[in-house]
Amino acid sequence: MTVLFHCADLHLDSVMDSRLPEQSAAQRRRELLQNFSELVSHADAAGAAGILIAGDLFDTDTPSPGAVRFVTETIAAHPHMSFCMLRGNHDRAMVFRDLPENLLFFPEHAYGCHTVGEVQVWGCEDTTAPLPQLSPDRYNILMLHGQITDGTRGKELIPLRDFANRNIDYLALGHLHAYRQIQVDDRCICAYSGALEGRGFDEPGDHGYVHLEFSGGKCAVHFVPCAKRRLHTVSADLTDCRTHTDVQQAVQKALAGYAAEDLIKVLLCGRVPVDTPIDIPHLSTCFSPRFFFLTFENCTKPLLNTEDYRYDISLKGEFIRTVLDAGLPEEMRDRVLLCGLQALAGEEITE
Amino acid sequence: MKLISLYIENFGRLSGYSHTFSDGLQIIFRPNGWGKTTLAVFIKAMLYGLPASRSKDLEENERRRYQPWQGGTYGGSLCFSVGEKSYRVERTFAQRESDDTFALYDYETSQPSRDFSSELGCELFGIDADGYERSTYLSQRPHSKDNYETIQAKLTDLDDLPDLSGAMEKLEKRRKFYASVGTRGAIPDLEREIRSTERELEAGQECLSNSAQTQHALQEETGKLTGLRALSESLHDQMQHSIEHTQRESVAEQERVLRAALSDAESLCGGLRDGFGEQVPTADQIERMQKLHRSLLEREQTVMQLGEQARKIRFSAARRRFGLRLLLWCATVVSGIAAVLLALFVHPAAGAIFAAGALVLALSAILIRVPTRELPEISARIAEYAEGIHEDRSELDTFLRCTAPLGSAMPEPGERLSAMYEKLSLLNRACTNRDRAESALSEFRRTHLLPQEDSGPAVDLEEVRRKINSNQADMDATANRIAKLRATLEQELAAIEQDTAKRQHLAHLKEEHAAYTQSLAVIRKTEELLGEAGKRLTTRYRVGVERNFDRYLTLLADEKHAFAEELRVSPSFEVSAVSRGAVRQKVQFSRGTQDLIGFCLACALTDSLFTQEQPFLILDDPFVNLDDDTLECAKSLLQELGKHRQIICFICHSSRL
Repeated sequence: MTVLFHCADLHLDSVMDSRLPEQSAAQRRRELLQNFSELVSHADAAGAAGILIAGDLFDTDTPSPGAVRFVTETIAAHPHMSFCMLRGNHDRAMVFRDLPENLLFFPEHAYGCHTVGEVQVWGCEDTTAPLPQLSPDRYNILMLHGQITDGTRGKELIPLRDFANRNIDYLALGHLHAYRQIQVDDRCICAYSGALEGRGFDEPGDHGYVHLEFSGGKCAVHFVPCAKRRLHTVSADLTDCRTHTDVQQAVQKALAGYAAEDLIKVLLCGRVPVDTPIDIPHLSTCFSPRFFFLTFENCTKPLLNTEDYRYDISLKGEFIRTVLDAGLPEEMRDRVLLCGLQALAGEEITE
Repeated sequence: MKLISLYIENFGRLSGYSHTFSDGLQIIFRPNGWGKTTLAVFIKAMLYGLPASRSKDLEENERRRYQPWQGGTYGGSLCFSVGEKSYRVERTFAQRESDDTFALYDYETSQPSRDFSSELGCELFGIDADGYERSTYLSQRPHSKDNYETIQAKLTDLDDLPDLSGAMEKLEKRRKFYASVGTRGAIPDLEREIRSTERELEAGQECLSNSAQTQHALQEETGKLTGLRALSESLHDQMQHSIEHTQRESVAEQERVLRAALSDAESLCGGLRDGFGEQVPTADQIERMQKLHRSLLEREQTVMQLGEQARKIRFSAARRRFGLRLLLWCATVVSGIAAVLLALFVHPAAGAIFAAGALVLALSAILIRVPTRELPEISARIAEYAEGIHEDRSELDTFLRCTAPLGSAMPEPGERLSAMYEKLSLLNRACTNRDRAESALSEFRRTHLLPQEDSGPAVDLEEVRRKINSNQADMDATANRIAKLRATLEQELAAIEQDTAKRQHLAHLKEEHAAYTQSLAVIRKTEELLGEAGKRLTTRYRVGVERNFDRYLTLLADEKHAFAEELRVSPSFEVSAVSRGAVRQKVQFSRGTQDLIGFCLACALTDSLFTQEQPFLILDDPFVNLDDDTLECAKSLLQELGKHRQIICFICHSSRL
């Protein structure tokens, strides 16, 4: 039996979501590195023969020397395990100065093979390279980094049909940051392991690695979530809110049930009267201590029935009619209305 | 638009009240507290409905404020005419606006009409309820909300809050936060910080390329150092080889020395051994021989002494015997003589005796033997010794013959034995030395690897040392350069290490810059549109207000009540007057004059505001501050106005009829 771990798109040392405070961003970068280290430890504890890294281990071609050193040392500390690494579209350059012997790369233009346990691990950085002839009597893994397609071929494109019935047991892919598994043929399973940790709010949900077990002529595939923190985008409807307390309660309700270690973006939405106090700094002060990171985005729209102001002879009515007649894009229009009404009402301009 | 009649079912304090309106000016005399305001609000409620409000403040919640005091159906009806048509509107009000009812009927046919919706007032006048209220209901209450002196309040719908200029000031302040004059402001600050961070990143990139060069240089120097170390090793090997060669030579030499020493020792041993003849005695043997020899000597000495003693004894005996013999012979002689004499002279017998005696004496003298009792013993001893001596001598001789070949220059056995002993000691020492030499050689051979073959010519050690020193100097210099390169590389790597944090910071700055830029755009657009709204508002109303205001003032002037040469209205509807050559602000005039001017302005405003249907005016004792003359002017003005519009004027004092 051979056990392997499949991971990808770690994007170590990357820039985090810009809304994250710099200290928290630095902490997240450290956590990503630590997560990689823990992955390796888990693999070791599980008796894995190796780890497949299907691209984008680093976020850039010039990661910090500290990050490179950390990864190098982590790999070198487990010399009995093989690390089969494919470079992705983000980390094309060779960043390792002192290559550990158990860190194995693949060629750029043709498939190369490394034997890990009972498994032949094939890989190529060029998704258009001709496929090798694979022995049907061996366990065969193919590693690629790119986007699967129905049939379109090209750079970083993986036309799945080309890989069917090619004696492939497992197609270890990288590029997409969410786990996804597809049955290619009777024998072959294709999977994106997804990123080990979410880095931005566009990467919600579970993140982790794929546990592979080769025995009895079969390959068992099992996704293992391992992310320390999850990212969530939640909506708080402020439609019926009129006071600070109403807003706070709506946010409280929206945040119920989320873990303290997570990162949360709260979308304040709904149509609210312009005088409803939406004090984001105050909301941050109230709720931020409960989570690792909390940010608010005001997506509310002013509750303005333009018909109500059709006959309003005041400056407010004139202003609203002027803005509505200006033909502005919706978002700009709403923001100008809110800004102007705040100014006319003598309130603090939140823009 | 004209009011025909109204019926209040229940509205505030008024209940079951009906009133029919007439055209033009109508004066309604009612005491204080009758409900003039309630009536005005009822009329508004019929036209506009009552606004929904959650406020518990009655001032702000008209629905609650005008709930019927006596209960019952909350509402009523209003009949009015618009152009050629007349209508009746019926409304009732509930707790919630959604439960209110509205019905419009054709006044003539009493049939439902759809000419207007529940937004009756807006549709009629083109103005919302608030604007209607502020412009059609003119009172003399001190409440600034209803004070028709403040045209801005009517227009801007603000109470004690900032007006357009206040709003523009706030916007300007906020705009300046983002971008002020020159390069000040949050956005320029961000742009500076972005440029600075980008420069730092570029420097980091430079550090990156520099670090690549530094690493390359470091690799070269390291390679060079490796080569120098290899050369150093080679030189040290050479030196080692030389030293080993020397050592080997030394070893060989030592071995040769040891072998030579052994050889010498063996030679000496051999020589010494050869000096012993057939066999080499042992020390014990020699000692025994020496002891024997000494014993021999002693015995010989003893024998000699015994012999001497015997000789002495013999001599002594002989001497004694001689003496005796002499004596005896003397005696014999004497005796003989005596015998003779006796014989001759005495008796021959005597003589014979004496002769016999002399004979005896002579025999004694001849045969006298001194008894030497020791002598046989001595002789026996001597014989014994002699035998022993002979044997021992024989043994010694044999020993000497075997061990000390002839021709030795030392004839004396003792000396020979001593010499032999000495020689044997020498031999033993030589043998010991030889053994030692042999042992040393063995040990040396055991502990030292002897060169099996010629290791080649010896290297010039000094030359090698010189090269080693030179190489060491090169190595030291290279190591120094490597250390400096490593330090430089550390700095460059430290700068690069900050790269990710700087990129994070830059992303944060750019995000903030984008947000600020958008906010600035919003504020600028708001300023633009708010300014435009203000201009439109003032332009729309000002021209009309100015024209109508002039008209009303002209009416007043016609009544020969000229209190000013010229009255002016500013764009913000502030009235000023030119009097006696100077510009006077309205506040400089009397209260009554102010009221009159304000009334004219309010009427002018009403004329301007209502562009569709001209509403009626409800005046709530507007001229309490006027003196009689001015009051007459005001009345005339009202009557003039009444020719063109419906005016309902409440008064509470008969003096103002």
